[in-house]
Amino acid sequence: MKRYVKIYILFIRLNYRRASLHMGNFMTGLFGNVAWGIFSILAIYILSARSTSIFGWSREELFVLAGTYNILVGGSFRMLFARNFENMINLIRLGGLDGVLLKPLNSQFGVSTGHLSIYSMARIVLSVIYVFIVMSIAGIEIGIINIVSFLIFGFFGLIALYAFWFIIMSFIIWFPDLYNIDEIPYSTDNLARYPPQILWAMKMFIFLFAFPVSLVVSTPTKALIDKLTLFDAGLLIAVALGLLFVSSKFWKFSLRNYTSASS
Amino acid sequence: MFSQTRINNLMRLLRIFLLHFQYLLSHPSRSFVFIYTYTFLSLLYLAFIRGVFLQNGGDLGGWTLSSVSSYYFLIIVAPALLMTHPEHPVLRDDIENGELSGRLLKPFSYYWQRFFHELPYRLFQGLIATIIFIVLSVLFNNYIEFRLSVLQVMLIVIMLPLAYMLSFTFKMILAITGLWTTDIRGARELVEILIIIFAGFIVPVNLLPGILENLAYFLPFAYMIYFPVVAVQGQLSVNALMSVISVQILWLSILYLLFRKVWKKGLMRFTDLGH
Amino acid sequence: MIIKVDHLTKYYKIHQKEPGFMGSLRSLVNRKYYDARAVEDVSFTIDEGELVGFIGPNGAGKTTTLKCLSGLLYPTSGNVEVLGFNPFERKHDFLKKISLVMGQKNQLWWDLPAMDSFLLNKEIYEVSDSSYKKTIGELIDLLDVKDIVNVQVRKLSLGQRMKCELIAALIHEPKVLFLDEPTIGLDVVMQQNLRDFVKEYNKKFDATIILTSHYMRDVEQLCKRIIMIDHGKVLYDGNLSEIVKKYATHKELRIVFQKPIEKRELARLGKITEMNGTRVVISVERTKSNHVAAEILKKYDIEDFNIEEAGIEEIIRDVFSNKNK
Repeated sequence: MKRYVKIYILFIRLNYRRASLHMGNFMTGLFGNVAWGIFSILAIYILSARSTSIFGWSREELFVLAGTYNILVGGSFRMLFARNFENMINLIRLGGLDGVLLKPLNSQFGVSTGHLSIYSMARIVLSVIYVFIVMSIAGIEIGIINIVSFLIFGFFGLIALYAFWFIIMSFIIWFPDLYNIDEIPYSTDNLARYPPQILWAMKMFIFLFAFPVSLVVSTPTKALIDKLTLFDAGLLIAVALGLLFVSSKFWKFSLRNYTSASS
Repeated sequence: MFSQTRINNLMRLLRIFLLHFQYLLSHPSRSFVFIYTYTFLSLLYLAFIRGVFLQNGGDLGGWTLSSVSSYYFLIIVAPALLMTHPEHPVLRDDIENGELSGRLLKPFSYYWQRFFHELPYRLFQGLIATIIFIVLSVLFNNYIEFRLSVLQVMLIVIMLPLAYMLSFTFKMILAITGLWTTDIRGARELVEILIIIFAGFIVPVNLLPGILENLAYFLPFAYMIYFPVVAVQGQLSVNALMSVISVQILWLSILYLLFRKVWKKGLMRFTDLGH
Repeated sequence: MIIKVDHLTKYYKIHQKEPGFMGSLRSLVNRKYYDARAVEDVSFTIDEGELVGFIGPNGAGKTTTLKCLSGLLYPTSGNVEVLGFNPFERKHDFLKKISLVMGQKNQLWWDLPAMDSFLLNKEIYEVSDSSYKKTIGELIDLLDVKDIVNVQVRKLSLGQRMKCELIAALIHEPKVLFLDEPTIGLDVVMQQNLRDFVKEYNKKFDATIILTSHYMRDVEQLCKRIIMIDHGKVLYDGNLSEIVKKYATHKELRIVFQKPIEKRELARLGKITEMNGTRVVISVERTKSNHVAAEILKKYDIEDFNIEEAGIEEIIRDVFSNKNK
């Protein structure tokens, strides 16, 4: 465990150096990332323009949800994992995965860490400020316990989302043709912007596979605004740990089918 | 007009079309992935809007639950058929990988080469999306009533290819800015966001809040997606259809002229760099 | 025996695409697959400290074999044992003792100096500070890269990058080193540098090295023992010198005459492979070479005369093409 922490700290240092060597890329990334953050809020504004509450969430609570989506998914998840998942496609298709598999390192860790999109920090910081502003305008009061539980459940939410992505991206080993496979989890992520009941309102059995995503942001947000039940908490933790276990097993199984690339 | 050279060139372009269609058929799953994203997002927004409708008693800004459901089903077909993406191959293959030099040597314009490259994808994905539209209509027991006059149908038949050309020309301008700087990621993401909002993907344009609705009629995006959709739904009178077509032609002229200017400048820069 | 390969077989499933437009349509509904046999029933053993060359044409199965030995690929059937481990289990103790270097494959971080990648590998392989300092010092000296280890990798030439890739692969002093086409794409000088380094490394660290290559020079200079592979099967496993004795059917007579001789006249003695004024190379059957040599020396005025074995490259090429017939 200690070794992995050491390696991860080294990753952070190396990514910071890389970012400072390529300021142009950094600025473009920052711009795009913040623009999507603003879009998050605009989308809720547009959708809820003619209503006061949806699926039991008030309009103000929906705006908070848009902000926490930015903190957890648009900010933290993208910062920690987005580039790694993008690279995973070519890594597997073009044989670069060999380099990861040859190292005495858990290959799931090796494939999904390493790149950090540091510019996403801006989205996290701005969203935190935004959430505090919205909550004070809406008169939603929170204490230190709310913030701590938001962080704890946010952590489990990130694990659930990570495992969800990893399982889908592992399919690239089976279908190397699907170079746009990341579009599936990218679009499914949008589910996390809205109250979890929306998944049932979509009325399509086939989308139930996205169930974990519906909990990723909504549960930590419920913790933040004092709407969390014991069931919500237990469900998210169970889903997160269960999916993580499945992702690890499926990955190991998929590696037997890995054909590398010819020389 | 029908000189032998022109006919030969047309045959060559058709052959490019068939070749790309063939390539597309050997990797059909990629198209299914794109259709999934349109379907998922459309149904997600529909689910939210239905919630709004149920709160407001089933009527909103001229839309009923039935017509708005059809709208969102059609919003799956519209981008599959009409929203072009030439910027991917232009930026990745032609500019970054240097294939542009080879393309410039061919006896027909770059614009039309890319056009015939893109077309098979739109047709194939449009077909799949139409099948999904039919399946959803049956599953949700929500059918469109096609009450269109012959004149309306004729005008829609003109409107659709205009919408396609508008989308294609706009995206080509975006793509060739890559000749100046390869990292146009920021600009592309901004354009994507503008299209999602103003082409009517989140909500129909007439349900956009105040200033956004006005802006939508001013920008070209609604004329690529939103208007073709509501036209097919029979919501546009003959006069309205003709207005929309006029605006499409106006935008297309502006964008095409802009494309030619940007392309000329871009080409000079490209050749200056010794490619 | 540090490496034991027992009836190793590896098949890939390849999608068989029918040509033409109708073929593409048919493939949509009915995908056909066939088994591509990359490696078929290969067996061999390698002892500690050996430097073995794998040679064969493209697609012969060399790289697939190496990848099975290093644990990247899961064998279809057969047993593989390296340093007492099953490679595919990819135990960390096993991975810390091996290294696979593939020519032209980049494992270094592209936009940072190579030194940063070395440090990362140090942490990953859990190399101690003292060991790291010693090893990296030796490797940098041996490969003469002191000036470039702090330059961004993307700014280095292919040869410089290859050297840095090697260092990154050797920081943990692997006991078994797999080199897949290490000299490919490098200029002549660089190729020689690399060969000298491999020889030196094998001697100094007593590492077992398996090398695949297209270039006979690599194999000739480095390997006493070679394994010839074609279409996934082992054709020959033994000393390089034995191949000459076993397969060389001809000898080459390199002659410099005092004055030019008619080609027709010489052609009856053997096959003329080179003719440049008074310099002639004649290929003669092994058993007749002495007799022909004697005849030439008797009949003509000679300035210089040599009898040589046919080039190893030629011999091996003949072996491969004969096996294909």
